Amino acid sequence: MDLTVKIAGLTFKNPVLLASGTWGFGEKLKNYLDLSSLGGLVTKGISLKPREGNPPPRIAETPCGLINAIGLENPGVEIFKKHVLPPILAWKTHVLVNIFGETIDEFLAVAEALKDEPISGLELNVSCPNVAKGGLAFGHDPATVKALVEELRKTYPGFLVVKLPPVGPVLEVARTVLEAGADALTVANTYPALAVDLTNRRLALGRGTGGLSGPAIKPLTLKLVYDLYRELKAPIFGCGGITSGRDVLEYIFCGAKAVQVGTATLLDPENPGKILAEIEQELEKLGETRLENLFAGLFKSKH
Amino acid sequence: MNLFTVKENRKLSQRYHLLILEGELENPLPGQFVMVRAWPGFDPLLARPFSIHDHEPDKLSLLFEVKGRGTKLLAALEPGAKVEVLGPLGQGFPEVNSGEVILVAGGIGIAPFFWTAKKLKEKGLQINLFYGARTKNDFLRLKEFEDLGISLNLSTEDGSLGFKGFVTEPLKGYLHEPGEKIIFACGPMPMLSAVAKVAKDLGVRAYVSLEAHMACGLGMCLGCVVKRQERGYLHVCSEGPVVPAERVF
Repeated sequence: MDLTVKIAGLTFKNPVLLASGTWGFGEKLKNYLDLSSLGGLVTKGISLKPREGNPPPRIAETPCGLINAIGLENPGVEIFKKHVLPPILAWKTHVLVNIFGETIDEFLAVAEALKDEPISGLELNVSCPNVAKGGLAFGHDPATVKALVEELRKTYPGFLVVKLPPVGPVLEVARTVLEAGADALTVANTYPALAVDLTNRRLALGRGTGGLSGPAIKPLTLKLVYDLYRELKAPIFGCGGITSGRDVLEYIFCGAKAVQVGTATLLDPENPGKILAEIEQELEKLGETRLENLFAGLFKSKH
Repeated sequence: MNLFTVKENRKLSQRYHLLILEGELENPLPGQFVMVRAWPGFDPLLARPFSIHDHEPDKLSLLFEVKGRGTKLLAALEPGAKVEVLGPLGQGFPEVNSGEVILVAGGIGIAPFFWTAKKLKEKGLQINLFYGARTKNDFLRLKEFEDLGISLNLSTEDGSLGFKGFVTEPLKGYLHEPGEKIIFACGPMPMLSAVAKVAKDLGVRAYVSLEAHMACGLGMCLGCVVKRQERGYLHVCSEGPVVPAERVF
């Protein structure tokens, strides 16, 4: 079974990557899953300085969904480089570092700090719904993201993915970042959402609002992938509510090159491995031996 | 996750259940917890965290209050039903080899102390349980605790059994007595805070078992935090649930 995927000069051994912020730094997950067996690892969002994250409660459950407002808690790029990244790089797979800044200069400084690390690429987080500055403020503004990617491209020639928000002028932002030199898109981050704690008469999350993930959002993000691929024909990492091998194939059929699994890993640390195994089984059922044959199938058929 | 089988699901009262599962838990420690899922599909989405109430080879007991959708589903499980269990997880109570261990429980916070007391008892340590509840009907597993042969100090908010008032009052009096002591506490945050203060004032080491909404139980999502005393947040599932009291209070 050939599961390899090529995106902008990188070859992924299979289409399953772990999404940012859903697997710690692998310290515990490695007991349940061979991280080297995955197509790639996208790290937790890393900022220039350490960030404490948001006050609790940080999570709220909804039907088939999870709302989080973690707030990009991370140790900052220097500690990340020194202590966190080396063991992650020991896994024999692609490592993409998700980076975050409140300003363009901060993004550039994080990228600069990482420029000599043997990572496979960067994923720009311009879509976190849980921070006051940066995040969505960038991802909703085509002009700002354009400036960000253009500036970054002056000094960073490596593999560059932009993680988009699922709401706002998504198509315009996507087109802009590709024109500015991004190699691929991650579609998409969580959906702005809120939950109410009626018993205590307040919002359920400490920060107020959060981002919705999990099976509840799969059909929404699937459509987003379909729409963006149809318009842009760009390499896409599909990311939203994937819990099975079948989900992965649906995303690929809609135009995603590869996927990122997130919430499913939180439900059961063995899920990414199960999803990977299911991809082969599902392909077999479909009479396919190459994943590539399903890619963007919706656009090749009568549809 | 590993598959366990429901051996018995005992309704202790209107709100409380004792769920006895058959299955193998690898090297658990008192104070650690497990993540449990016992329904198909994704609604509820997340597994639920429970401390280990009792453990024998091939047997795991959970004591829980029926509070939300997850616990309601667990309460309805019939013998023979399959349950997915992840664990043991997190940091348990520290090892103690001498002196006296004072267990302080508030409400359902009694849950981790049955097995903890059993293990400490095996070591021949002296154990004193301070157990507070709303009314005399809210005490759980009292007979089993009595059978362990440990000292019991009960208190109720309405005075229907034992001391009338919060559990910290009789605790304070007792801590004045001489002797090497260590406190393990589990219960609502205000109780833990009060226990931490009493312990600090009297120079007794205290550990608290924390509770939080959890998603993964493995320190991956950073969802289950409580404010740390110095700065930032403490991750309950990976740094806890048991932490030295001064880290939080």
